[in-house]
Amino acid sequence: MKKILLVDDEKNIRLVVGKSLEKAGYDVIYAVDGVDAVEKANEANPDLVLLDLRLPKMNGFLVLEALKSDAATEEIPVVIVSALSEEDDIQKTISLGAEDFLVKPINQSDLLSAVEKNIREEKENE
Amino acid sequence: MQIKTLKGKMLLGFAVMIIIIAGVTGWSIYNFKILSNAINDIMVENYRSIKASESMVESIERQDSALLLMLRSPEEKGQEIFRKNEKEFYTWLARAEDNITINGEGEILNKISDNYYKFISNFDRFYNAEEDERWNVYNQKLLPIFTQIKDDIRGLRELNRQAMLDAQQEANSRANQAIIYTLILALSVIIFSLIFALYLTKQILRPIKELEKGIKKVADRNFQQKVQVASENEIGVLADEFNEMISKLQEYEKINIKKLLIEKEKSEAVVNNLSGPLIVTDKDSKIVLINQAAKDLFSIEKDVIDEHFLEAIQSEKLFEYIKEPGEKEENTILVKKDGQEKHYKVSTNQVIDEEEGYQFTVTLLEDITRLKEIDNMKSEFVSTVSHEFRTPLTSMNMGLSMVINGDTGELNEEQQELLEAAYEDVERLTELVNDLLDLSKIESGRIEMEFDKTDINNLIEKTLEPFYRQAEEKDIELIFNKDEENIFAWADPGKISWVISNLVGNALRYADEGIIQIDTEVKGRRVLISVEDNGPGIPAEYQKKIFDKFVRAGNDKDEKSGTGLGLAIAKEIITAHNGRIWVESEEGEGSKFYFYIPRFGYQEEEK
Repeated sequence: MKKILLVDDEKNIRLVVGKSLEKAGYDVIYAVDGVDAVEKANEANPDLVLLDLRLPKMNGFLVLEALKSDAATEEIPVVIVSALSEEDDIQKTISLGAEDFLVKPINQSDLLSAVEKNIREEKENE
Repeated sequence: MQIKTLKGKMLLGFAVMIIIIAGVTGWSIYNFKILSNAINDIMVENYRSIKASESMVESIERQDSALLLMLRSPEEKGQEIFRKNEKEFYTWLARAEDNITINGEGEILNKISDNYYKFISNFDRFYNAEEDERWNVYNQKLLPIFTQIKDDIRGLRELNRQAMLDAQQEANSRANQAIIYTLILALSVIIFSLIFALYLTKQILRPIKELEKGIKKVADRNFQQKVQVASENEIGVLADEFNEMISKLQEYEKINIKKLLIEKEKSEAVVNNLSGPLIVTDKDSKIVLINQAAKDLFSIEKDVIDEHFLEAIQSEKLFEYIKEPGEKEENTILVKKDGQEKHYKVSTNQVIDEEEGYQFTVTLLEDITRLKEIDNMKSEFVSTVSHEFRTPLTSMNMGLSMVINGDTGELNEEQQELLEAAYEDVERLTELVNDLLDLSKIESGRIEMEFDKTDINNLIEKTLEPFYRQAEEKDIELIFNKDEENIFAWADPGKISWVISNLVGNALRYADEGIIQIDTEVKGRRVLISVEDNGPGIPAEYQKKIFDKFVRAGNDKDEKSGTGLGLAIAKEIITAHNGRIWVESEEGEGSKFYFYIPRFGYQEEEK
């Protein structure tokens, strides 16, 4: 089962998005802030990270930078799910190595198609 | 009584002259008369006496000759001559005696008369005497008496001649006197006339000169000095009237100047108290008026009146606005002052004189920094709020869709219906939030237009593609009339496509059947695009407001509502293209939306 790390400080988002992914057959792990996200990514080595940008403790840009600059996590695809929709923000995350960018509010089908498109096919370790 | 009027003085002067001339005439007549008398005296009296004397001498000499004749020849002839001349002599003697006019003339005549009597008496002795005796009588008696008489007559003649000479001399002297007096009188008249003429001229001319000076001064608008005319005559009266007129003019001028000053002070006070900077420039772009606020804004300390605008104020952008007067929303300038950025809206107005034409340009700057700030804050606020909406909308959207899709178990019909209504509104809310964000981005300039050479016909064809099926479903014919192949515009294709989609989408939403026509047309340096429908139309009162945010036409039906932001966004996009969007519509007949954007190659002119 593919593993997705869902990073969002909003409890309701974690709930509905998590449920939606679970229904679609993914294993979902959660992180509530930036520091938590980096830790969980290293710990669980997920196949995809859904990353919010506005996060407590450490913002999404820094999390992305940390993940992509660490050899252990650089291969993990990252899809940004954020209410920020400025062109600058999108460009910045792409240049930092994000695979895709979804602007909130998202719906189920957009979410799932973005997940399917970007999720890692197979892990070297497995 | 003193004569004061000019008329009186002139009449008096002339009267004096006339009297003098009459006197001179009288005097001359008198002198002529005297002269005439003197000549008469000479002619009548003395001349007669002289004539008588000469006749008497002649007679007595003939008698003497008769005596001599009688001494030699027959006596009858001599006696006859003697007697005849005796008569003659007495006649002349009587005449002389009748004409005694001079002293001594009478005595001489008496003597002549006595001697002549003796002469006649001795003639009798001579006549009666013998021939020899006659010579004695003649020589001793008659000849001495004859000589005596002759001498006396000569004396008489001399006396009369002398009298005549005296009379002539007197006449001469009188004539001379008359000439002198006449000359003196004539000279006096001339001198008097001259003096009088000079006096009169002075009397008339001096005050007239004064008046002339006064009038000149008044003509030069100098109402200070009055005309000084001392005389009380007509000119004096005229001068008084003139002075009266001047005082009235002066008063009038004072009132006018006062009014003008008050008006000037008022306008200056208004101009200087205007919080907004104000600059007035003339035809040559020279500064005519500048208020303190403007001086402060552009840090002007010296006097810049009459300087060229750009010499005093180094703002070419502002100068361009002044060159093309009018009040345009987009005419704004940015001024950095004390480290702060200030935004000003520029309104320029031309002052046009009815007779002289264009005179001045009045430029008023309105500080819109605060408005800009508020606008930015509003955009910021809308953006923040919209962002904050997005996260909860995501959970609502996804949560609802999962429940509706049955992922959480079967729903009964009622639950399904209610949740679908909620889901629909979540979607509308999502759309609204997205539009609001787009609008705030465009308004705040955070979306950059990506201008390019754009094939408008191609763009419209692509944009219309997804609408054909929708139109068919509603039984609406969607027609695109291409005016020309290959119309190129200078545009952001994505944004213009969005505007066309919005307009066509609206037309489809409001029309139930009929035709929707899209036209393109090249209009000079612009490309004109129109979208026409035969839907319900837009009431007149909404036609202008329809491009404002959240405005929907009154006949808008609830189920057809969009976000109310589409046209506002469209307007922002078209404005960012330096274009214009508007609508022509009649209720019940349909609507036609137009917009134009610059044609490729003409974009610079449109800026």
